[in-house]
Amino acid sequence: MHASSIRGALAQVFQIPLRPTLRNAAGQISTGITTTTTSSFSTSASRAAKKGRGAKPDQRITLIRYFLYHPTTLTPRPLRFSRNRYLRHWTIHRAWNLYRAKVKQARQLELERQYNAMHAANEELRVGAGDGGKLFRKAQMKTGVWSIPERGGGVPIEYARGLVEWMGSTGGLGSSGTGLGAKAKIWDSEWTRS
Amino acid sequence: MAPRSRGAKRIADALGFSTPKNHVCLSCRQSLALTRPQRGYASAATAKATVEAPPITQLSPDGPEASPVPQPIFTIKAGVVLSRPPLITPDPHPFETAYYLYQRRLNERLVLPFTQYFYYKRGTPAFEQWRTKRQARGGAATRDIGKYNAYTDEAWNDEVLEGDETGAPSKIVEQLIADEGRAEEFTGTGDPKFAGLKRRTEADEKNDQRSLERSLSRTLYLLVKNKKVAGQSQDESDFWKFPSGTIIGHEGLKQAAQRILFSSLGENMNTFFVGNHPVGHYVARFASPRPGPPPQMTTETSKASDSALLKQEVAQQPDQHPSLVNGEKTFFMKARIMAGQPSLAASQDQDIEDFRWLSKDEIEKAVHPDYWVKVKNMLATQ
Amino acid sequence: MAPSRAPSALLLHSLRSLAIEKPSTALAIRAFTSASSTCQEVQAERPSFYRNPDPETVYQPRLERKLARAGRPPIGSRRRRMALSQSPRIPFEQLPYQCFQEARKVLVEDREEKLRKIETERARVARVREADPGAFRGGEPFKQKKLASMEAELERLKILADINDPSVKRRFEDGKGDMNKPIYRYLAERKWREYPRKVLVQRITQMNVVPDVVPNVDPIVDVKIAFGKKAVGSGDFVPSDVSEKPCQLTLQAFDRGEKMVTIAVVDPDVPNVETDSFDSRCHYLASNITISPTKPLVDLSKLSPGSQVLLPWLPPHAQKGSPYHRLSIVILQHKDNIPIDFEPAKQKVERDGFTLRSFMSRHLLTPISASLFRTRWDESTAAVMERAGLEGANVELKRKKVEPLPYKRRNPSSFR
Repeated sequence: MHASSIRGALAQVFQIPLRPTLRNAAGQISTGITTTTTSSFSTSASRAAKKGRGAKPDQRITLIRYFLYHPTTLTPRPLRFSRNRYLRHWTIHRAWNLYRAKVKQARQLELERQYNAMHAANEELRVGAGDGGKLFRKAQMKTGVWSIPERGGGVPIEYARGLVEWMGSTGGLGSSGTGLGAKAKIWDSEWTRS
Repeated sequence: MAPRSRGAKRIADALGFSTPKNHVCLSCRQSLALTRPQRGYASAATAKATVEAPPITQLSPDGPEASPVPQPIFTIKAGVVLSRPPLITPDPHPFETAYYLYQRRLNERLVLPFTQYFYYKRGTPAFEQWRTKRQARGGAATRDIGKYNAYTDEAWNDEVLEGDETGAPSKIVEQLIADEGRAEEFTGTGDPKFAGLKRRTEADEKNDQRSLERSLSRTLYLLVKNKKVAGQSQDESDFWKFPSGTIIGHEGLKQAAQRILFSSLGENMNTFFVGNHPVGHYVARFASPRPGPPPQMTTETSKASDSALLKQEVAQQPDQHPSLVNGEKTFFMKARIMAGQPSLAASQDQDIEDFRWLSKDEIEKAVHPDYWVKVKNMLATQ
Repeated sequence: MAPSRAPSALLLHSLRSLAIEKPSTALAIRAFTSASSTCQEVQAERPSFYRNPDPETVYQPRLERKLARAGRPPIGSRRRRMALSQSPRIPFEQLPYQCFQEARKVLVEDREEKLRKIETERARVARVREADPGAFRGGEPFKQKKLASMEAELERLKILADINDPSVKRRFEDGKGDMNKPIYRYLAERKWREYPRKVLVQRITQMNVVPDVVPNVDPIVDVKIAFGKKAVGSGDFVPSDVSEKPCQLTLQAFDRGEKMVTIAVVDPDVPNVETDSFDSRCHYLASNITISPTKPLVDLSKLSPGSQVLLPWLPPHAQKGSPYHRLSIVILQHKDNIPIDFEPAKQKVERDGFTLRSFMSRHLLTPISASLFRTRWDESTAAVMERAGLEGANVELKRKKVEPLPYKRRNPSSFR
């Protein structure tokens, strides 16, 4: 589709008359010749008229105005459905809500199961370990849990590894033989405690 | 105070613990009270368990000889649930994929047109490139909705038919990469169509269960198979378990778990123990009582202090040491692995025959059914 | 970007057109064939179609006229019929749209799960029903309570199993829902409570039917009033000649089972000149009427005078000069749905000075809904009163002039 025809179609959609200034501006772009930049900050017609030249506001300003101030009367564009289409949309909507609810519920139940397992283990440790609750009290010590890793506690920085959708083969560092990309790997299996 | 602990306190009071032992803290008092028999609602095993030989912290105030029935004796063990968190997002449900494409196309029907001259200057190479690619897409500015233009007469027809691949994530990525045209820079050893991007690895293809690069979208747990020890039944050594071992000396559960993990599978793992308390437990009762594990010392320091205590204890209860145990209780500590890999060669104890990284549903097939029932609740599905 | 598999324009155009719930088998089979075979089949069908055109799909004017002469007028617009005749008639559920089909898979799976739950719940209900009441700690009342709550849960599951079905939604929107099924009763009640019930409650409270005629009412039954073919909204003014004959009521209940009701039409605005106040008068009273969600229609003129109608219809009338009369229609449910004794009740009941409250307490009735219409003096009232043999049509009531107190007079004599 040619660019000017697109703009024409858009103008038709938004009921904008194609202004002559715009046509001039667009023509200037297409020829790639910028005639003058001296009066780029002034668009006033009177000043230009005084100097005896044609009224030519800066094309960039015109374009910015045109593309930033779309007529808002037609937004959002009307979305009309036939009855069958609406029923399909309704079906999809209901199914999505159901699906999301089930996912949420499954997650909630899993957290509940994990919590209950933890609770049962701690209760067993408290009353059933046979050492008078000594191990239990040790297990409940929160010393260092919220500390910083250098002082031997807290949450390590490696926890910040986020989920991604795809694993790259080169780590985004290029695949050239000896570069960093060649060493990229998913899991650092060769890690050693120095 | 919770009702049940209040009840326990009342029992303790009734039994006369509170007045003479006021210097003992509340939780001790309760557990002391609970070591006494006849607790209505708790199971007998729970109430009467005492720790056996290696932990020297035998505090039983009245001793086993005071109670009329012999109490079951359990070995206390610490276990490690070492997990590798998922590295990639879960595989989308087919409905999710279809729904997202459906919504993207509906959005395309609703939004204002893309203002191309605002972003591309006419006559520039970038504009020409954009224009040709847009034409190839049928005029749509968006790159992930397939061949659909919301400004044509066919705009009503925005639903894709069954079997269409437009919304599949792999398809979208493939098209974006072809669009960009720089695939070979990033491909490496991977598939050039996807510029080396992948969700399945070689470990997946080979089903290498020792590898941590398998099943990237699932949480993997470390399971081990112990070497056969004399006196152990056949099926006990056949099944997989989480790494576990007896607690030694005065160490807590976390220290014990750390020691067990590193001594049996080598130190070359960057792990993090989440919290000091257990996340699950497993109680095994033996069919017939067996001799408890021999007391073992790991470090020199603990040997010195423990041996003194041991002597003391043996002197106090000469007939109990070494004795038979009726079962074992394993408390599992949650841990995560950040880097590294267990190795059998680096193991100090050499008691592990094999290890595996398994996801939750694979664990179900690998472990004993009774074991599975006890541990399944603490594991994450995803 | 590689083009996705684009469906052919012909197929898409055919999909766009309406899909019919019950396709004719011959047409449904050729869903995705090429155009040529379609043409052949149309040609093959043609003679039979011309001889026996279908009012759903006929669009040639000549055949339309032929059908109209035969007494089977064509259905819908010609444009619609044309579209229908050219569509492949794929059933709605089988439309091959990806997201729609994936959504249906999710919904079908959920429905199966709900059906399994219904089965287990039914088995549980049967077990409890079989069980000896002595087995429960509370005895028989406890058992009944347990059964009731389990039945409610069963109903809820039945609703949940069907609520996501587009064909159920379509049938309900078309007004073809079967009120025997819980889902349609639920949808109808939801729709009623969304707006019409709010209007009804507003009318009966603003026009003071609630404290004046019945002490309180929480409507659970939809009441629609119609005189002949003319529907009357709640609180509307009805001309006297229209309301001369008894009205027809649509009493739409939304819960399962039959209800035994009494219908009373009470006018609480009869002026009493002697006491300078208003009296109440019963215009209609009928008992032992059975309604159910599927049989909501009650024609007041067709109830049996021997066993149901306690007081026959007295045409509503308002004397000239009296303020408008509220003709309150109150629906009362019998206790435990047991019919009341007709003869003693008929002897006891009085038309003038009727108080609904005493009638309710005498026969243990509970109001389940109320509505009203209004009447006032108009041109036809005199004739209506004459035909009904009522007196007082020639009397015009006037407001008594109240002499203002001297200091409130506009223009007292002392000012002059």
